[in-house]
Amino acid sequence: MNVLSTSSGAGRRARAPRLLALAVILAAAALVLCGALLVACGGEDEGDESTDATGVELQSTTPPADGLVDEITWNLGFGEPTTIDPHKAGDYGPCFVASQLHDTLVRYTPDWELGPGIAESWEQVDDLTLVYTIRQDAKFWDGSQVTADDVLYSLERSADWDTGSIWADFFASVESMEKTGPWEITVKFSVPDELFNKEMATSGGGGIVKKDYVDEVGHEAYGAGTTVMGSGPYKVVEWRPGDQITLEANPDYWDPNLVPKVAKVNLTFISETSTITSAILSGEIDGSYEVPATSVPALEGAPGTVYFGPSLTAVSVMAARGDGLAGDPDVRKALSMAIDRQAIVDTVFNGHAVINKTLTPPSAWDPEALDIYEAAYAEIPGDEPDIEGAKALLEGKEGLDTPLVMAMAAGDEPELRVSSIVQQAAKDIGLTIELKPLQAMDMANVFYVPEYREGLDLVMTWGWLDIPDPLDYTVLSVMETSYFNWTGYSNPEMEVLLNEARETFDPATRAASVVEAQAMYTADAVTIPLVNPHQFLYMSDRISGAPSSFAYMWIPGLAMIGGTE
Amino acid sequence: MALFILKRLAALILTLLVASFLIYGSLYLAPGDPATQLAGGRATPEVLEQIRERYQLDEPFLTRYWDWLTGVLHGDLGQSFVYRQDVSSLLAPRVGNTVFLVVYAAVLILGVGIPLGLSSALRRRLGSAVTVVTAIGMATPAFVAAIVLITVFAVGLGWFPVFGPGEGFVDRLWHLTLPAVALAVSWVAYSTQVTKASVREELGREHVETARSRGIPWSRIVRRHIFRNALIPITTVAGLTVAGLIAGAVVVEQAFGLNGLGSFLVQAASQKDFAVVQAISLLLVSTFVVANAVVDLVNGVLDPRLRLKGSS
Repeated sequence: MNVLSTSSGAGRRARAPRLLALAVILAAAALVLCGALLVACGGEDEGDESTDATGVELQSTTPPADGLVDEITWNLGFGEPTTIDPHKAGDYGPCFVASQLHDTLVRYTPDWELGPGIAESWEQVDDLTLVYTIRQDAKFWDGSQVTADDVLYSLERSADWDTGSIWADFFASVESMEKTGPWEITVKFSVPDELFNKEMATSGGGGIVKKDYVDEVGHEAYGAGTTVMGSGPYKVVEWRPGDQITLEANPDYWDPNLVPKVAKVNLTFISETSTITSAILSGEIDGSYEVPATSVPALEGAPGTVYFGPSLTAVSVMAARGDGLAGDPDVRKALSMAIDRQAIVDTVFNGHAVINKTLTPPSAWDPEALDIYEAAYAEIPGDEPDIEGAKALLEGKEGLDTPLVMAMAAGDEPELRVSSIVQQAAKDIGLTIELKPLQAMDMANVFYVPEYREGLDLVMTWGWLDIPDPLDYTVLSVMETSYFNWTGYSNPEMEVLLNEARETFDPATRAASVVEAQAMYTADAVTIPLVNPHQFLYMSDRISGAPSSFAYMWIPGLAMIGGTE
Repeated sequence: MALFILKRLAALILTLLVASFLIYGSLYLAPGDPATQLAGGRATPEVLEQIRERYQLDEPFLTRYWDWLTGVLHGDLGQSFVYRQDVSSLLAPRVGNTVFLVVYAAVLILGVGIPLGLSSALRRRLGSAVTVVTAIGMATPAFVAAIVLITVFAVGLGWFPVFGPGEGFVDRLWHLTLPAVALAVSWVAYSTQVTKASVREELGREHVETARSRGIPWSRIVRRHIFRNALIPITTVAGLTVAGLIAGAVVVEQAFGLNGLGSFLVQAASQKDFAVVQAISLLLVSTFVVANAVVDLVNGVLDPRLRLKGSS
C-alpha cells in the first residue's frame, strides 16, 4: 500500500482526484474573480445610475431632532488629528474637533450669518477701532469663568507665530489689542480690515483657551492628547492613540440652544475608503463629513441619509512657475477654455458640485452683495468648453509639444479623475499633460517649499476658503507677494483694488472693487478654476440635526445633533 | 544553555545598533520635509522656520542620531513630533493590538496549515485538492481577502464588526477574527506545503518502513517516527512566518482600521516622524532576532544533533 505505487487499480482512481481538483480550481477561480471585482467596484461610480444633481436640494441645516442619545460614533475621514489646539490646527480633522471643544469670539450659523460667540456683541467704533463686549456667563469645563483676560490671551496667542499658531496672518493689520474694561477688549488697526471680525469666527483666529491652563502646560503640549481646557459644549475625556477620541457632553454649556443631546461621541480615524464605506453600510459609523466624492454612490442602501450643502472648497489647477508653457497666460487661458467643467461635475462628483469659472467659487460670495457678484460672474466665460477659441489662442506658438508636468496627490481617486479630464482637454487642443502623483508629504511640500516645485508645470489643487469672502482667498493667490503666486504674476492696478476692498466695510462698494479685480485676474488665468464641490454629510437614521454646510468646520455642530427616536 | 542565551543576546544588541543607525540614516536621507506637514494647512515661511527650529530638523545627522541613542539608553524613546506625545504612550495600545492579531493569525496558520499538510501528505487524493485551494489563498492579496471578508461577513451577514480592535479579551477575539483570517489566508499555503513536503520526506525513510513492517500501529508511527522528525523545517517556517506576519499585518491593519504597529510605522515613515519609526523598527528587529533564537532552541530540543553543534 505504498502511496507511490502505480498498480492498475490506481490508474482508474487517479482520474477522480483530477476531476475534483479541476472543480476546485474553477470554483476558486470564480471566487477570486468575484473578490477582485468587488475590490475594483467597491468604491467606484456604479456608472449609469448617477444621482441627478437637480433632484438634490442643497441645505445648510438638517432636520432637527430632540431625542437624547447615549453614544454615537463619528468618523474623521482624513485620519487621526495631529492636534486639537485651535491655534495649531489647520486641517479638516483638527479644526473640526477643536471647534467642538472651544468657543470662538464670534460665531457663524450654518447659513453663514455672523452672530455672538464669547463676544456677546461688537462695535466697529470707527474704521480703525473694533470693540468686543465679552459675555459674563461663559465657563470653562473646570467651572472657572471665561474672562476678558482669557480672551485677550487667546487672541494674542493666535497672533503670535512663536506660540506655534499658524493663523497669525489674520492679525496682519492689527496695531494693538487691549483689555479696556472688565468685560471689554479693544482692537486697534493700522489700516481698516473688513476681514478681521469674520476671521474671528474661525477657531484658528478666534478660538478661546484658558490663560492659566496654557501657561501651566505650555504652548507645545496644549492640544496633544487630552491636554485641553475649553469652554465648548463638548469636552475631551479620552484619546486612545490611533483608535479614537472620546468626547463627553458639557451639561453646563452657556448657550441653552447648544447643550448637547448626545452624551458621548466616539471620534474614529478610519481613512481607508473601502473601510469607511463598509462601516457606514453596516451601521457602525453614525456620521461623517469626509467621504471621497467617488465613493458616495457606494453608500446607497446605507441605514441613513446623505446630505449635500454649500461648501467653500475650490478645485483648481495652479501654475507651478512663471516660465515654461504654464507661465504663458495664453496657454493657461487656452487650457481653461478647453476643460469640460460640467463633465467633472457629472462624472467625478455625480452631480454634487457646481462649475467654477473664477478663483473664488459662487458659494464664497459675500452674502450681503450677492447681486453684484452674480452679475459679474455671468460675464465670465467658461460655462462650456470652447475648443476652437482655445486653439486660436495657441496659434503660432512654439514649443507646444513640450509636455506639461502636473502634480497630483497619489492614491486620491477624485483627484486622479479630475486630472484625467484636464489631461483630455489638453490633448484636445494639442497640448500634452503628464501626471505626476506625489505622496502626501511631497504634495504638501509642493505648496509651501519652492524646491519641490522644480520640474513641475501645474499643480492639481484642492483648496478652501475659511469664510465666505473672496478676499480671504485673493490675498493668498493673486497678489505679487501671495504665498500661492508661483508665476510671479504682478498687477499693481488690481492690487490697489483689492487692498481698497479689504479696507471697505460697505459690502456693495467692496464688492464692486472685488469684481473689478476679479475680471483682471480671471482674464489673466492666474489660476485655472474647475469646480466647487458640495459639502457632504452622512447621518445614520438614529440621529439628525448636524450642519451640512462648510460652516461645520468652525461651529460646534455635534451639539446640534439629537436622536430621532 | 547559558552560553547560548548570552551569545544570542550579544547578537541582538549588535543587530539593534546597526539597524538603528541604518534606519535613522535612511529616513534622514529620504526626500521630504516634515515641517510642512506639521504646519497643517497654513505653512508660511515663518511657521516653517519655527517648526524646524523647535524640532531641531536642521541639526546634522550625527548630532540627532546621538541625541536619540543617548535618550534610548536612558529609557526615553523620544517624542513623536507629529503628535507631540511620548513615543512609548503612542506605542503601548498599538503593541497589544498587533500582538493579538499576529498570535491569532499564527494560531490559525499553524492550526490549519499543519494538520492540513499532515493529512494531505498521508492521503494522496486530498493532497491535490488541498494544494489547489491553498495556492489560491496564497495568490490572494491580503487586501482583497480583507475586502471580501468585510463585504460578506461584516456588512452582508453582520456576524463580525467592520473595524476597530475591540476592548477586553472576548471583544478583541470577535473584532480580530476577520483580520486574522485575512492575514492567515496567504500564509496557510506556505505552512501546509512545507508540512506536506517535510512529512512526505519522512514517510519515505527507512525507519518508517522498518517500523511498519514490524507491525507498530500506524498512528504511533505517524506521531513518533514521522511527525516529530518532520517538525524541524516546520518550526523554522513557523518562526519566520510569525515574524513576517508583523510586517504583513500593515495592510490588514489599514483595511480593518486597527491601530496597530504596522500601519503606524507606514504612517510615521511617510511623515518622517523619526522617533516613532526608530522605535517600531527596532521592535520589529528584536522580534525577528528573538523568534530566530526561539526556533533554534526548539529545534535543538527536537534534534539532539543540532544541540551538539550549538546552533543550526
